[in-house]
Amino acid sequence: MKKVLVVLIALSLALSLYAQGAQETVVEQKEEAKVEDIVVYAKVPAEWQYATIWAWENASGKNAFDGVSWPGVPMIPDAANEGWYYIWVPGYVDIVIINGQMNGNDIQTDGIGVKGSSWITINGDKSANVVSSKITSGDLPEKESRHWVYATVDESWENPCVWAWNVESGKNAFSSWPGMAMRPLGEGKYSAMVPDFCDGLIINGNGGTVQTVDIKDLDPADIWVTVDKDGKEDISYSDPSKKVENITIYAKVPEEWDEPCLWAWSDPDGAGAYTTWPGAQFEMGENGWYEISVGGWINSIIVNANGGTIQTGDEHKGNIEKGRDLWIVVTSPEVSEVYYEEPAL
Amino acid sequence: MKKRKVIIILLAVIFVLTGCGKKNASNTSSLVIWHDKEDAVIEVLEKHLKETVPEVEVTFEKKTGLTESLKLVGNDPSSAPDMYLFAHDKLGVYAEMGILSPLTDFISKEELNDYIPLTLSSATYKGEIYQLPLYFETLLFVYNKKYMKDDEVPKTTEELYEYMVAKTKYGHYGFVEQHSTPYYAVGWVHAFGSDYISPDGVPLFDTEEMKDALAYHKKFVSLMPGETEYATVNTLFLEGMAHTSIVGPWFVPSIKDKGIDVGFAPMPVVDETGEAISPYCGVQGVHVIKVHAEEKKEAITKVLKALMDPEIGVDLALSTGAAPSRLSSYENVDVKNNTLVMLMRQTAESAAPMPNIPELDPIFVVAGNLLTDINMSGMDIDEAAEKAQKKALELIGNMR
Repeated sequence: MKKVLVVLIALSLALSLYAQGAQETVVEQKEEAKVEDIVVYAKVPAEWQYATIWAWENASGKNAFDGVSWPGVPMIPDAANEGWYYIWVPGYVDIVIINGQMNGNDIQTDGIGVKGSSWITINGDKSANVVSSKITSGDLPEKESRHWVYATVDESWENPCVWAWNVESGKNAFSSWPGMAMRPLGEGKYSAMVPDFCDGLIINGNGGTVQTVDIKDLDPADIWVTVDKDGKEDISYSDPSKKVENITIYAKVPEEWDEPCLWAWSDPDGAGAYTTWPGAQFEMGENGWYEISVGGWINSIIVNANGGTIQTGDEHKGNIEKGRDLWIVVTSPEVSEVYYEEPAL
Repeated sequence: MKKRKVIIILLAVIFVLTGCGKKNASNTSSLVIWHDKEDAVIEVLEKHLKETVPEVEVTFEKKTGLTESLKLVGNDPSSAPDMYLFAHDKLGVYAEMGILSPLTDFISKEELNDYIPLTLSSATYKGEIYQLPLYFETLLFVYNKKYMKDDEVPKTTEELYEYMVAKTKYGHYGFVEQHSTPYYAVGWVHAFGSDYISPDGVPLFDTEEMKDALAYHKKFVSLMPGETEYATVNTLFLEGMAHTSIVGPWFVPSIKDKGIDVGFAPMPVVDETGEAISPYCGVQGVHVIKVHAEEKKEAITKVLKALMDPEIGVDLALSTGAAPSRLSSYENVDVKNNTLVMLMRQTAESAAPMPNIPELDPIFVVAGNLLTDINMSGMDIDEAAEKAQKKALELIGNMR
């Protein structure tokens, strides 16, 4: 009997170990699978003008698109499957919202659960049917990196679209003119995304009857195009509405502090406004305030004087509000106060 | 009442004698090392020192304005550090001031046989070695692979110029550098066979080679932003607004943190001279301040010897991309396979060691003004060069 017991215990142990091993393998496989991107296809009602996706991991709330805010990123029309849009997202995504516009109004689904690559059909009542097996024809499209195209157009340009291509090869991003409809952002601004292989683009409107010239030899980077009513374009790789302006720093220092200077930088990356200590010298302004202009991107300052031999400490490191004028009153190397409005002294 | 007065006086005497409030009291087993380095470098050094010389308490103090502070307090026993970690180029100034102890007071010359000759020659001033080299660095040509493909990397400056003409538009730049900062601009000057100053301390601002270099360089400057500050140039590269740049290795971690797919390449060759842009090479290392050297000799010697461990060079190379000063550090497979470190070693060995003579300080001030006059104020090159030469001679004369 004892022998039987021993054998049973041994068997049970072996089974348990095997099961544990198998479980670990499953966990490993799951983790491995999570790092693989998945494709999400969506077929939206014909009345929808765009298909945009917002995607995340339900448990952690982790967003699929870094630095992108609602409503997410445009899905890509699949030329081989009329009415279908697709996008590759990180493998951890298990819930998505598909959204767009209908008759000029925003429209969206509820959260749709997905397990791996999924094909979603959106019904007229915004409900969704999801399947995990491929129901589109042809091979899955390749993953491709994309960048944003922002356009500001004259109000006479309705329903603007972007047309994009690779200049050297002639390869187009979209199957037919006038290209991809741009999503309205308000105030005459629109956005869309184009593949990084495109180095030429055209912004057009009114069904492609008005357009810019070919804009060529572009970098694969977010781009802002402002178009006047005659189609003349102004182009920038940075958002013209978000240029960082200089700020003015005003300072009062003890009497024995001669020729005060500003040393300023961005913490923690260490980018400095000046290359050599003690920085740039303040000029005497009004009401006994020294003043100096410096890039609005800095978030750390030291005020020093007497050729840099006396200075404030690290108390204003990393905590200066970016882009705001400030007043600093230095009482001693150890004591200084920062204000964002001129203090009454 | 009398008793209370006596106690107060005694306490005051004890306070003064024990040097309360002074950071660097004469505890012979504790050392203060000033530095201006990034955290990654100091973490490596602290870790090794804690493991190998736990009996010595070493405090690394990051010092803004380190070089100026040393000039002021380098001889002050109550304020001076015991050692400092900095580039070799200031050691001539401090040696002349008499605030440094020769390294050979602690370590024999024979023990330094494993060091790359360039690093030891840089550490030497008037026949004495004043620095224990830890790593060396020079500027590197970097490119953002999102914009520039490997086969587009310019081999010559004219290829670079063509690229700049094509790509500098809409707020993006084909190439940016700190064009009017002497340390960065000198590579172009070297490519024309000149320098700011001769090895024996004669300024070279009005030489034909210098003027040719400045004129040629200005062609490139015209396609760069007007601002030449560190932050402007580096931010442009980090934010993807510049395709290529010339940067120091200390900037590489910031590039990688940004997720930029970065490539490193040899400096382009100036078509006109056949010489590559050749920046200065800086050797970073520790120097011993004389004021406590005698009383703390044992602790200083222990720390210096611990810092000679080739493993420190390996760790610095792998964590910061710096090129180790000891030859034996390069026997490590990971170092051998590190493209950045090996490119740095290759570039640095053909680069010009930064002079360590005291005249360099005023020369850099004059060079900075000269570059600003030409690149940013549009002054005639002959006129600006003549003005710079005159000023340099005046400042050096005053200094001597």
